[in-house]
Amino acid sequence: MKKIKFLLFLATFIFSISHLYAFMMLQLNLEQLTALSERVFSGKCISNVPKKDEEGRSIQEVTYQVIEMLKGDPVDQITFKQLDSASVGKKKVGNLTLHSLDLDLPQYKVGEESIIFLSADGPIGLTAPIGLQQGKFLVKKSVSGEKRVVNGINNKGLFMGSSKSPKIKSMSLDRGEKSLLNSQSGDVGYADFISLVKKIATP
Amino acid sequence: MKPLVCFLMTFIIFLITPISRVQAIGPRDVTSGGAAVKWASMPVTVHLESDLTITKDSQSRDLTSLISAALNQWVGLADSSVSFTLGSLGIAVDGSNACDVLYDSSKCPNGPTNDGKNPLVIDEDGSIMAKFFGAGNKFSTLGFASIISSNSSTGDAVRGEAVFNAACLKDFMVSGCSALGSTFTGFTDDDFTSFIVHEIGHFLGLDHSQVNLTEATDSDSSNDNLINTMFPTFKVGNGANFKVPHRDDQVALAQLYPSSSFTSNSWSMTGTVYNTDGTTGFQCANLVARRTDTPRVDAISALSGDFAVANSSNGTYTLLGLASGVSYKIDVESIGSSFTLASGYTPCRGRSAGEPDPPQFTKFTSSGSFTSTAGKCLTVTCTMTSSGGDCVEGTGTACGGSGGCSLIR
Repeated sequence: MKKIKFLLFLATFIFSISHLYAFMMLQLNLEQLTALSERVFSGKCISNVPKKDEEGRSIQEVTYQVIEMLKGDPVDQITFKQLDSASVGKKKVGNLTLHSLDLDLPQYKVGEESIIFLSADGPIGLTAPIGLQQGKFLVKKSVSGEKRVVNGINNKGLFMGSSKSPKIKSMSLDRGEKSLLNSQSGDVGYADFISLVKKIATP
Repeated sequence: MKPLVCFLMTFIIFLITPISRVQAIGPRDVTSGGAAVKWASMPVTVHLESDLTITKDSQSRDLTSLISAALNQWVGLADSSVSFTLGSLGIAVDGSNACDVLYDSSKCPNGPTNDGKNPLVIDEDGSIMAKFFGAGNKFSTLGFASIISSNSSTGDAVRGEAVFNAACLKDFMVSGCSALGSTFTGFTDDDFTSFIVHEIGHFLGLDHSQVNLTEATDSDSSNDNLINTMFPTFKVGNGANFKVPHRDDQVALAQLYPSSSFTSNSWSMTGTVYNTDGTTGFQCANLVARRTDTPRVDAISALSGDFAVANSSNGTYTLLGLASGVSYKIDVESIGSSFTLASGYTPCRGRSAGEPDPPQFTKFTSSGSFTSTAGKCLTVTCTMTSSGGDCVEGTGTACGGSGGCSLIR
């Protein structure tokens, strides 16, 4: 009975909030982001080419120079194709207004450094970071010059329930990594984040 | 003689009043003339795909009853008049043919926009989500719904669509849902139904709304019954509460689709939120009228300037559906800063949507309370100060125009 109560608590705590949009997306923590990703890497965006696919979709073909693979086989570069929702939107055709779903897809700037939690490709070769905005972390420098990382929803819920996770509880974490688990939102230190992801990604 | 003059003046004012003056909780989209994008008449026919059955091992389940239950949450509410007819799309939809029946400028730019169908699709295995966002995202993208085409002048909806991802529904989870956590056992019927209820709210043209941000964002599950259905986030496990439209949701629907008695059975407050200079309208302030005896339960919201174009400094608002003879105080607060883009509130969904971010300011509560009786309206002006602000009842100015005609007060 005690165990059931604990599991119920854990289920609610770890998996508590999802975003409801006109486009509806689950809010994921770091363990879930890592588990759902095929590849996780830090890298620098070296090209972003707008294209149209065979069915007329606006897509962007994005290439990263990989700095470090955190999950997946090591490679120098990764190229992926993602829908380009920013280039399209509401438009008028005759007397009709055609609306666009507000897709929270990440955008990529050449030269920016990021950590990407990338989904496996879908059947027509399109993919996106896991959880869309949640799976792309911008690497930026604080005023003191320290590298920090933050995703498209300001790391909200990123460590939700992590301190109770059986997998994370079984890992040996250093002080910096442990301190991440108490973070509610906002950017976090790059080095601690990278090392924690690598540990989570280890089977 | 005076009442007749007032009546005529009121009638003239009514004739020349732009639609944009009729404001309240807010539609998801408006025309350039300020008309809400919504369905012009009821019932709305939703066309169900032919395969609403999910299967796993030797079990199968038809989800039609869940969809009907979700639609019915919006039907029959006392203050509004909404109904649906269930039609058939005539085909089963999955990732391979999704763009034959769905339109979206990103995902399916050549899809149908005016074919007389309003598809409602169950993505049984997540293959539709996987097609557009990659295989791993079929576990994190739960669905979408929207009016996808409308008359540019009137705002009348022409076509709507909705897709719900059932890949991780309890007892029917596809392989891979376990990546969501070792303790995750799938979405319950209540949770899944509540997703549909919220999204059907968007399908009907409703925007997000915020009445109890504190309860919605704290870690206390005992107060989750106070989170309104059109709030942008959902706590898994709160489906039984979330799926039932709250007072704010009911009034939001009544604003777009009022019953014949809605206006005569309740009273309203209307006015303008002004910036600290006292003259410039402040757009995207969230106003919450809280009943003084049950402030967290009976709360009705409006976003200032939500029928106007973005960046227009339009601070006008209307709070509808207030109970006759009951006192309310007004909270004036910011929309949560993280609510942008699809989880945002029109017309301040953030720069990526071509709108400003939701403005952040110091929350304040009116020092006084306001009351009136059914069928009437108060003019209440709210002005911000550097440390907060206050809302006060106007004098000599009636709702809807100038002149103080008691007929519309």
